[in-house]
Amino acid sequence: MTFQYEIFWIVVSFLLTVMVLSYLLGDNVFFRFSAHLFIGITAGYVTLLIIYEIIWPYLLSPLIGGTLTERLWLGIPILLILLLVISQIKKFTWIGSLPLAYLAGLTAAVAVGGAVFGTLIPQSRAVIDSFDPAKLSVTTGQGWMNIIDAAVMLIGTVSTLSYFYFGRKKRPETELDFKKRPPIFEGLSKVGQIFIGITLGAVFAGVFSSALLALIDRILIMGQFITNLIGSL
Amino acid sequence: MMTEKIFCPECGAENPANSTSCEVCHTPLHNDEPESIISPQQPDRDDFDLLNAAEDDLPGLLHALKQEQEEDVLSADESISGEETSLESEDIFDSADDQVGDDIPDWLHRIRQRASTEEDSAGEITQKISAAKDSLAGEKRSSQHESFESWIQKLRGPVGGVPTQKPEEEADLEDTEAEEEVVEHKEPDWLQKIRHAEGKITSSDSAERIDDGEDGSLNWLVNLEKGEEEETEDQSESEGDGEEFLDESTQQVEAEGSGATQEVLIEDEPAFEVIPPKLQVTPEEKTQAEKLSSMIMDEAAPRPIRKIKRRSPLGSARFFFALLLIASMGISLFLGQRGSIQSPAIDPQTEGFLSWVRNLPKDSSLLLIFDYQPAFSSEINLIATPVLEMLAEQESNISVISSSLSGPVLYRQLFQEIGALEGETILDLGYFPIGAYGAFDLGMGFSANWVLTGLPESAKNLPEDGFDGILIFADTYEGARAWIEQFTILMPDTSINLLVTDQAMPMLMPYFDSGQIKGIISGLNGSVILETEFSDGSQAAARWWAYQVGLILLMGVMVVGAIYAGNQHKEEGGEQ
Repeated sequence: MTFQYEIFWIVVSFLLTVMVLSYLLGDNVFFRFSAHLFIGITAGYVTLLIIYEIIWPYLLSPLIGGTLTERLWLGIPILLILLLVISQIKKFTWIGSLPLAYLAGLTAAVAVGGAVFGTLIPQSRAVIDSFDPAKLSVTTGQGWMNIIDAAVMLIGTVSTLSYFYFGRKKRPETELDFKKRPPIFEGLSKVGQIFIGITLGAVFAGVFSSALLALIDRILIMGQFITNLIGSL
Repeated sequence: MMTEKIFCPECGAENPANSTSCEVCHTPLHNDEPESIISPQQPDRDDFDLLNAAEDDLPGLLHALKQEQEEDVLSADESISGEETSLESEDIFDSADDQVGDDIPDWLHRIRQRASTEEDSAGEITQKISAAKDSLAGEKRSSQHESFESWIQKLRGPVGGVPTQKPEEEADLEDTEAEEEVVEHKEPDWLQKIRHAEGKITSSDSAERIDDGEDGSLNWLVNLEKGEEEETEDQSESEGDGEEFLDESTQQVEAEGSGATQEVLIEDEPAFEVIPPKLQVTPEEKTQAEKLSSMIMDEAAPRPIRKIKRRSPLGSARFFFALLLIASMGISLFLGQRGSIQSPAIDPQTEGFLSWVRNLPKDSSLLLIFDYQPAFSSEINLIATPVLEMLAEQESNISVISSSLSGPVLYRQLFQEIGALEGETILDLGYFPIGAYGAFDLGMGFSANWVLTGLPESAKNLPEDGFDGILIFADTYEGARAWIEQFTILMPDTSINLLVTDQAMPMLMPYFDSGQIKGIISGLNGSVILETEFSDGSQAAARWWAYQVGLILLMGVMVVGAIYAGNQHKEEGGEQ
């Protein structure tokens, strides 16, 4: 029975893989069927996941079996939920602003705090530290390489930031002033383009590699299925 | 060839000698005696050659007239030096000049002669003037324009300043001119003389200067000379006297000899034509603009149902390359060499990860974060399997959390496949919809100095001493970054390591360089290294050759595609 169950899912996965790969022949009904199937399954899965992983353990379970204090605390999220639900009625759309504002503010606070203290400051410090003479002399024989590395990092950082500088002269005298950035930023942005190009190339290569590994996995599964099928005959 | 005629001082029309008023404009003719002028005669051969040559090009005509005028100026200079003006040499012009008491340039006389002898010459000249105006607007004629301006400058001297009359006549003329200057408001001398010669003493109306075709050319010359100086004045004057004429821009011209009335369109515009900057619109831009306008217009219109795209001509090529790729990788995957793979070079971030795993104490408390999608599960599983086996050997206490929808299912499947973790106690912290929230919640659970009593227990039995290490499994840069940022702030002493896909790796490297994470391991290279170091598995080795073949084929496809796209671009450029 278990064997048949596994065979069933192997066949289903094989067929769905072939359907998705049929997109090579262009948009067709098999590809659309598989896409719609994935969308439907995902929607159902997400609903169940939220119910079982969030609503039940964090809301319903404490509400049913929790203490009075816990229940009182849960009044806040329940109120916000109710406001969001009521906002779906046209007359009371404005009520949804409160929970949405709470969500937006909280997300902004967490994201901005993380970006500033978790990325911007540590990364800036790393660039500055890379010019620290004490650190440069630690690795004997590689001092010059470390200096070059730090210089490249500095140039890359400054030039990339310059590429995203879009300021213009406050009072442009000529049309060129109006169209172009100050010459120093224009020059640095050209260098920044090189660094951005290299970065995007590396990202593209990574995507390429990951996609290839996913394809290899699909080919492996199809090959194993066909091999097993032939072997069983 | 002498003919007795009376010219109307107002319109210049010829009238019989016995006329008392002009047949055209009915102006009383005050002359008691008929004017005796020289009828139009054949000009000198040289003059005619120049005029004939100028037939095709008005600037050329003007140039010829300019040369003639310069010659006359030279002769006038000679007369100043004491020689008596030779009236015989200029008798054909002087008789008419004497009647009006003014000196008329030779070129003007020649224009008049042509107007009287040639049928429709006035209209022809006017047309040429219009053509000349257009040509002057062009940049190629700028040199001619400048040359003409300089000629005008020279013309002002001899006509206005060089006496061609006898001293007595000159004195009378100066008196007359002095009176006229009061009326004519700062007009140049030579211009006044020209007007005087034409019988247009007053400058009340710019349209008066355009009585016939020859006056049209004269008017243009006047405008050219005066430029903006009198433009405003002319406009105001012409507006005031508009009733005398058909229209401001249309003048009624009666050509001498033919008697036919023509309407010649003379544009009332400055002598120097100002060309407004032209908007250069390419056909592509025009097409896009039309599309945009139609889109805006038809915004409310029902849109057509999207049709399934037909395969492009490149579809066959794509299909062929895809089949080739799949077939090649399949062959290398099932029939290729296995087992003997040389471990790739270990880079610093991989070395950092390996040293962290090796130095991990027994019974250590670890947090595993799963943040990847099912599509990348095979890649993550390749890396995760040796690491999890290693952790199982060390009897680590593992807590699991997920911030991707499929995370809970994927890690359960992974643990099930490994089998090594069976029997181990794994704390499932559940699913957080947003990674940053989950990280913040976890971090605050350990770092906050204040505790709100009575809150529901969200963090289930977290280790009291925190975690010895955090291991993030991620398929994207954004997913991993959210956790790194929050843990860097809230749990700075906890070492963080990453197990990620190749696509997330490049953007996460700065966090390794800054020391925020201890090590990263990624992709097939990382899994081969891990298999070599920690286990005897051959999953990565089985995929290695297929991976290499796929990479080479895809690089080849990209090169071919780039060449094809370049040729296509060239062809499109050539067609345009």
